[in-house]
Amino acid sequence: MTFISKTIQYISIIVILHSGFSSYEFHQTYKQLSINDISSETLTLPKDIKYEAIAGFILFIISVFISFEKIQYFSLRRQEGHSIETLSQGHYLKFISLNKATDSDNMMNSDPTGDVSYTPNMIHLHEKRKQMSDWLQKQQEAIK
Amino acid sequence: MHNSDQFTKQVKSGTNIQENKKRYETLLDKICLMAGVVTGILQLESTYGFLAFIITYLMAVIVYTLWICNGRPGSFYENTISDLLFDNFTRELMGFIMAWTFSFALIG
Repeated sequence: MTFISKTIQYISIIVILHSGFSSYEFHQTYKQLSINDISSETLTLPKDIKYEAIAGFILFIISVFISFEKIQYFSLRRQEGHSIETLSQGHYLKFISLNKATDSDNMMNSDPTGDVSYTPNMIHLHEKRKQMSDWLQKQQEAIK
Repeated sequence: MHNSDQFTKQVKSGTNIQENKKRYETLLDKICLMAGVVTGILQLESTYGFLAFIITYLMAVIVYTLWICNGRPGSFYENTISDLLFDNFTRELMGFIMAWTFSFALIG
């Protein structure tokens, strides 16, 4: 929830509470008038209280909608020394079709099945060691 | 071969469906509870109160569809009409009536 949304929400709650208190005061007075037999049938809730309550409600709705932010991601494999970039697809909600839902995982280099595919039992260790030693050899030859 | 074959259907992400539904539910909860409080403050009775609820509810659905869903609710919800319009109706109506009667009794 953003700062603006929170601010508007607090303001709207204060406005609604104030209009509620005004309405309460009005109805207490109204009861007194009807007890004392003063003709009060034409009395209705004053317009300013009505408008205040409605304005507070509209502000509240706006604040609730503003609290939705476009979803942002951090890249997991960012390079050292670079500032943190935020990635976004420009939407407030997440896509439900799987081909688009996995886009966000690809974007931030996250592997949802990583805990399975990197389990030591699943890795061909000898093959990996061979690849590593080959790579090291190549590196040393390049230096020479 | 017909197109409703399970292999030709688009695969959906279950977690994202749940998450989107949850966010929508939270939004409606907030709006309908506050609508109830405001209706109580205005001391609306019987039909007018329910009318206020229905207007608020429909407005919330329309704004949500156009703003948050970018006018394309189909890409965020599985069954658009039932998910956005009917699934939460009873829940929100109950919340609204609770807040409405509470503030009505408190003020009147």
